Amino acid sequence: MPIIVNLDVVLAQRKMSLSDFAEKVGITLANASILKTGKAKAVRFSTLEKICEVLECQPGDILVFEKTDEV
Amino acid sequence: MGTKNSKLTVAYWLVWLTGYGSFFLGGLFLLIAIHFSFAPHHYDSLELSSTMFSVQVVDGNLQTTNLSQASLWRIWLVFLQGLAIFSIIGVMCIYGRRIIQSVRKGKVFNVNNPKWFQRIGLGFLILAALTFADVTLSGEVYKLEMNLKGGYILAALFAYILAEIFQEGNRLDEESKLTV
Repeated sequence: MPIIVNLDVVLAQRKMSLSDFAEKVGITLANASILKTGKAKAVRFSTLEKICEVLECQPGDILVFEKTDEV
Repeated sequence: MGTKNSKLTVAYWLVWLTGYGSFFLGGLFLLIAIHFSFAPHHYDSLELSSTMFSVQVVDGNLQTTNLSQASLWRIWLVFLQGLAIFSIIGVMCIYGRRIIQSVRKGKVFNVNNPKWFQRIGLGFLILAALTFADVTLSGEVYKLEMNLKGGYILAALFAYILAEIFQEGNRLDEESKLTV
């Protein structure tokens, strides 16, 4: 998928553990792991809003579009 | 999150009964075939039809019947056709039971349901092919009627459509599970 999730990088910069992040955002650890490993198929706006609030960042800091040859 | 829908329970047990009933009748058919091979004179006044789901006794006054003089392989063909039909119905009922069970358990869009619907569809197609040649034996008369059973074809199509629907449901279910 051409959308890359940079959550692990942002979490490392903030020195925040995944379980702390999941707790503060209000999602399960399993869902946080799905998001971190890039397995997620979709992210709700409400979840994205909370992630940005907790990590004090912009959506573009977490989600990056990388063009691939696949159509 | 299972469901205690009584209609599903009734459907489950009906399919269970039909399935095992089919296996039982298939076994009975086979036993009759074996018995016939050893004692054909017992079957002098019987009419055999593989697709009538029964072995019918014909009134002694009717024009028939001397089944024992018919070739053994032709009679076995009828028995085997009947046995195959009952077996396939039994196997289809097993898959039907599994589907109903998954719905009862609340796992409607599980990964296996499309596969089972496809197998049921294939079963209907095989039934259509098997009953295409409707073999009837009555004494020395060997009747072979060719007729395409539209009901089986329609049921197969319906099963394949359901398989596609359940496959799409399974995809959407997976997607919703991976939505954060």
